[in-house]
Amino acid sequence: MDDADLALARPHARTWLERHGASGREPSRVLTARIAVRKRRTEREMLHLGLLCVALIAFVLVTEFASLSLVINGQDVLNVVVMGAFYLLMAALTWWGSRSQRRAERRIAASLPQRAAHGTGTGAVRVLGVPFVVASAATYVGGVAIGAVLAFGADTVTDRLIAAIFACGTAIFAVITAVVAAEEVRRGALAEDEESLAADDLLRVEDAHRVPPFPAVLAAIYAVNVTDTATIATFGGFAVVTILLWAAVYVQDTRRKLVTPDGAVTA
Amino acid sequence: MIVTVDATSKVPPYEQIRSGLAEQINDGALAVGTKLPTVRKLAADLGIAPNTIARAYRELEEAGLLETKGRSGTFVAATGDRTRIRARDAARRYADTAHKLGLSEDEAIAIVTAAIRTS
Repeated sequence: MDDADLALARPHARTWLERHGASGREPSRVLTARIAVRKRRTEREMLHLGLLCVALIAFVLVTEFASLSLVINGQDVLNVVVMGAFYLLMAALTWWGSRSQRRAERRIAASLPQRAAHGTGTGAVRVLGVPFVVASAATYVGGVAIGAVLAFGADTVTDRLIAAIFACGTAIFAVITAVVAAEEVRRGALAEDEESLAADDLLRVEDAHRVPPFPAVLAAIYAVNVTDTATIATFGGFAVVTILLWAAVYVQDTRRKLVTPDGAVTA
Repeated sequence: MIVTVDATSKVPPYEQIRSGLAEQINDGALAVGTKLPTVRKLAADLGIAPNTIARAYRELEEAGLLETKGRSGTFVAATGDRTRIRARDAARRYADTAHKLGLSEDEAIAIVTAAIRTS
């Protein structure tokens, strides 16, 4: 990463430090480079989202003229299936983004003359945080359970199909989220001293929490596509509860302070 | 409690890790019973070969500073710090006495704190 890239990323690194209670501190070269990598990743994800939205609009236009449909029991469920595929693709792209970010960070790590690591072992739950574990369990275990129950118990064939798609989609999202979180927990630290190690701890948590809770959004969309009142309430309730839980996780992540092992807030 | 490895140093990486950990164990920064990172994790963190970490751990184990408890992991050994073992044993005896005398936890801790500050 050259000096021009670093200069562009420095304001973002300062903002990141301010968000974590270290305002006024000048970001180190390593932190600036890492924030630049994340900024590039976010831009790429926005581009992917834009392209997928264009593809989705194109699909809607094509269905208007070519009258494409996937009719089950007299109801067209093509839109529901396409939306599921859309979110699945987004989740896959998020995972791919995390791999590409890690490759870029390995190059940064290779340029460091000195490396630092924690002298004590830490468990996965401590790294990920209890709120994240609770929100993940509610979203993924709860989502698959709700989908499976409704897939057998809903009144109409359409609702049962939507529930089955939701259960399968949520299970796949669960795997992607678990893989991303596990990779973040296991990845090597990227630090040269105590201060950059503290920043690495925070970035690790943020990266592990980066896969958005797609099933919550999917449930909200499916809630307006199903017909049975109980199914609407189940999907709607699930969406509200999980969105609140994830909001709590993200608020906690944003407010997390940058603290070195000796207790000092630092950059 | 961090471990550092300087790639530009003339000291071999395993020796930097061994001496760094030994220093922290001896000065009490790494307390008896503290769990150390796994060989693979520390190797990934420091960007060096797992064999290098394994060698440092092995030498610290031979010196009695570390102990490996099967699959549970590697821990700071009690045998590496006689002074702290004696202090821990004395604390246990005091806790037993305070318990027999019917003192509350807060009161027992306050007595110890006062004794330390006046000694």
